[in-house]
Amino acid sequence: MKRFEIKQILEALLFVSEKPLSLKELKGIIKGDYAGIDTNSLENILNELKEEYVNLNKPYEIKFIADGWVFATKPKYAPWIGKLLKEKRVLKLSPSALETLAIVAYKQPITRAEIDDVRGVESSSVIDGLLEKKMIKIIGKKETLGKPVLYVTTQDFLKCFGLARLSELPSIENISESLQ
Amino acid sequence: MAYNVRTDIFEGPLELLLHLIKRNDLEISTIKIAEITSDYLIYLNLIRKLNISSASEFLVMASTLIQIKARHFLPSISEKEEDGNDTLNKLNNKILEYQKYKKIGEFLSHRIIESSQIYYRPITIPSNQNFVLDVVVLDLAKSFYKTLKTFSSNIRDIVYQEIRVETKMSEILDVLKVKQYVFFSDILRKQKTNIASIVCFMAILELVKDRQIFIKQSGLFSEIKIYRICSENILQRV
Repeated sequence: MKRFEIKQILEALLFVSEKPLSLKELKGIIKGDYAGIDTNSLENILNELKEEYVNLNKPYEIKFIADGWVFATKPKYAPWIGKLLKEKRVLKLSPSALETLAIVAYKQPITRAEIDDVRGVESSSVIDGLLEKKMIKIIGKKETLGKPVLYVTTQDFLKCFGLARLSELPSIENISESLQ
Repeated sequence: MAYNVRTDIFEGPLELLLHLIKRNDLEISTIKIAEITSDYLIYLNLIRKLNISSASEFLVMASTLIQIKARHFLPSISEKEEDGNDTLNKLNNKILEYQKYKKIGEFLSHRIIESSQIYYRPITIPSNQNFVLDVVVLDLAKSFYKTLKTFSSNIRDIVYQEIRVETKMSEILDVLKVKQYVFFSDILRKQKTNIASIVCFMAILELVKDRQIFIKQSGLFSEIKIYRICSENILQRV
């Protein structure tokens, strides 16, 4: 009974949230009323919920994306939703922006000079563009000469690229092999 | 960025090098630097014609290549040879490293298209004052009824009535056709609304300005008399 209640609460929370809710956040909301609930059992319940939606065969589903749980529509329905929202949602990123983003994603936290070094060209305008699009953010300063700022990728980055977590990026070793 | 050639195939010196390597079907580990350098210099020349300042971006890369090329022609001294290989290795590693991220960039560009098909719940902009509506429909009706009661005796329609200054001007002149003068207070008394009184006042000012009437007052706060100016009056005053 208790488990069912928690499941209902979680579903309600996901229903109203526009951003992926992390296990930590969900636990924070629930633990006051259901003491002793741990993240493991929460995750189990969420997976159960996700499974339920799969079985219902709804046009939307519960997904784990960008380190959190969220409702999302299935890609099949994009053409009609696009008409409703009357907007072009595809984020336009140039090849140089994409490779810069890739460098930040794998080597974060990283300074501008380190990015420049990999790319062989000056990257500040590309970095500014990525900051503006909220794909990367400044996390702090490196304790080295000149104290340059350090960049990391954002939750928006994961959401935008449909990644559950950073570790879902293809491993750098695989990429190297495919280049040989 | 000084270097502005921005196509899908070309961007930045390392990328240019990559492109050349690919075109010549060269294994990265066996780059024939000499061949690439001449290609590279032709391109550099082209760049200089397009944009002088951008050429400087390439100088480090070009000079590194030329340095290696020069070493290639010089008689080999074992120590120097190693040095040259070192630079070559460094360059190779850099290119290999860069190639990886370029590949990942491609992977990301596919992901972004796939993900754009997925919609999340729309972002609602939270208002500055988060309030909770703590009433029922009956409360709304009650408060409306209360308001209605307070005002019931005193409800009037507000009608906008246009009164033209010109109309009032001719009205005043009409009165003065039969009388020698008219009291200002008499004119005002005939007006039914405030707005009509105001327009009357403006009409009088207008008539004075046009020298069609003149105004006399015998003392402070005494009655204001309005006279019409006709040729006789002017003569009299003269």
